[in-house]
Amino acid sequence: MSNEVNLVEVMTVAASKEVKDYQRVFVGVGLPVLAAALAKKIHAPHALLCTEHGLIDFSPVRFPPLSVVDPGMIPGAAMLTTMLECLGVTLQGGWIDVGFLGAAQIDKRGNLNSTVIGDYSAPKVRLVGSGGANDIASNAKEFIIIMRGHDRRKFVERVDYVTSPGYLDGPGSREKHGLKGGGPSAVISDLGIFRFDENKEMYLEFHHPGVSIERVKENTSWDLKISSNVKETPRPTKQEIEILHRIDPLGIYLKSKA
Amino acid sequence: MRLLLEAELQDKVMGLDEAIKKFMFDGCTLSLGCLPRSFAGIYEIIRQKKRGIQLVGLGFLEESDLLVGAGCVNKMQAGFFASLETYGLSKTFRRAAEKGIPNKVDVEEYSNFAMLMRFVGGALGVPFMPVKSLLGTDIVNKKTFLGDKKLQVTECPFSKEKVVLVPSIKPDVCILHAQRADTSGNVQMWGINFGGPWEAYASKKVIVTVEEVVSREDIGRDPARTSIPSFMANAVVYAPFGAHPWNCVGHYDIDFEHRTMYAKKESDQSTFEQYLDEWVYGCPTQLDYVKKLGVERLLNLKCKPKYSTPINYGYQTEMNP
Repeated sequence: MSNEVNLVEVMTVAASKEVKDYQRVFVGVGLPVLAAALAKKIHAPHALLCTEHGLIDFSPVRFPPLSVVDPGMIPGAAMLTTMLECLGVTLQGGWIDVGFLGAAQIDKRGNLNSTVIGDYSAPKVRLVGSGGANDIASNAKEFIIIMRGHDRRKFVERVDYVTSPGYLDGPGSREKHGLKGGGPSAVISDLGIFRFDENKEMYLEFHHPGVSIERVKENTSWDLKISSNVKETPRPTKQEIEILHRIDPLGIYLKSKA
Repeated sequence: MRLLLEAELQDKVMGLDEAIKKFMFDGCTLSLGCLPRSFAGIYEIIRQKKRGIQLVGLGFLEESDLLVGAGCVNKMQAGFFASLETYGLSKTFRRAAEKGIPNKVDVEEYSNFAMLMRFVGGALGVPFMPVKSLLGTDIVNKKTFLGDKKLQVTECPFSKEKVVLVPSIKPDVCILHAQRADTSGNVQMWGINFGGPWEAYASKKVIVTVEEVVSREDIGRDPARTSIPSFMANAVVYAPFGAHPWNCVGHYDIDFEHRTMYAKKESDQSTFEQYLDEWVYGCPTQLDYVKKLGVERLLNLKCKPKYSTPINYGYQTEMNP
């Protein structure tokens, strides 16, 4: 195998491994649906995928879905309903085991910002807002965060605006605010895989092939803790890469530059 | 019980220009319904130069972008603002929100589910709904033009569990697109539809643009397919390809070529306005728009049939016992 590693492939395969068999998974279009579809083809054939827009137990027949309105996600699904049943009954009702989220900024508590960069009343960049992200972060039993373009502007000590709750201010904070879901269980970036310690602070568990621990630290704007047991992320297998490229043949989401 | 008024039984079919003129007004609160979206209706609102609209909804993509860039919108209350999906952030929304071009748009932000519950509350005729989202975040802490009327964190009076109360919302007008309706406004729609019919249920006036106007008998062959009953609809407008450049399941697919072109044009206000000149002001009616799309493109977008197995509504006898 050549030494060239596509870090987007590495992170998508890593994300797929977070999906366990028989789990009910909330996905959006983009890398999450690729990761979940890969998981279903390899180790989690009974995982059941849902979207916030009305699909329950679906497998896209037209890959990759490029839009949340893509009708190619419909045929073969077990249920096509509305957001009330998906975000309401299924998610808030407590049926979702794991959700996938992304954001423009993340902090060491796993709080996510997809609303503004800079001051809220005079933003430097106005972003899209929560969508269903806050609902998923609030109510899924756990969620996985996928961050492309890991750098110091994206990995910050405290996000400019908390759109979706991670562990908020630390241990006990989610419980204090009455949140039902368990919070983030992993962060997967294009540099490494991160988890949260008992103090609800993010630490590095795996660094991707070709990425030094030093590089991860340099690109994170707080003093990132490193697991005493830190390892290199396993390289994607030939089979995983083949399946991923069958799912995204044009490389729309898998292009190595985010 | 009261008898149906004559007006509720009457033919609600009208032209798009007439429907927008009759029910939309400057400064109204507007919902864009669920999916499919009525791009035809949005184009007509722009052509009629409606101003000061307060746009309310769950998630917005190009459709709100068009209204914002055309200067129709002053305020938005939503869960998601103007992404162009794989094409990135909407520049038009950013120009308005960050720089006030063509005019300042103030936003009040919720999550998709919280917004949906505000419509559900409006539809059910109750003043607020509780949700278990938003807790502990800046969506609770930061408020703009709604101030303290945005939401309230409180404890359940029975269990003491923390909840967020969101105020119900009743838009002045809802405009949406569907596969078909009869002339009295029984609406049937299918496909991925986001929030379902709740925005229409909550709205004071409902304008429906459709691919097909069908008979009442057609509606009655599959009543479970009806999402909006006639008495909630005020106008039925025949608007073929009315959801283009998005899709209408069973009729036509997403026009990615058009969306790519639009994403390029909207990156700058002057080219955005060129788009309006060409595709909105330059096409005074939906028929002009469809002609401009051209036969070849329409054939390429046409859906292949993918029928479900019919269900059986049968019973034993037609005769009364």
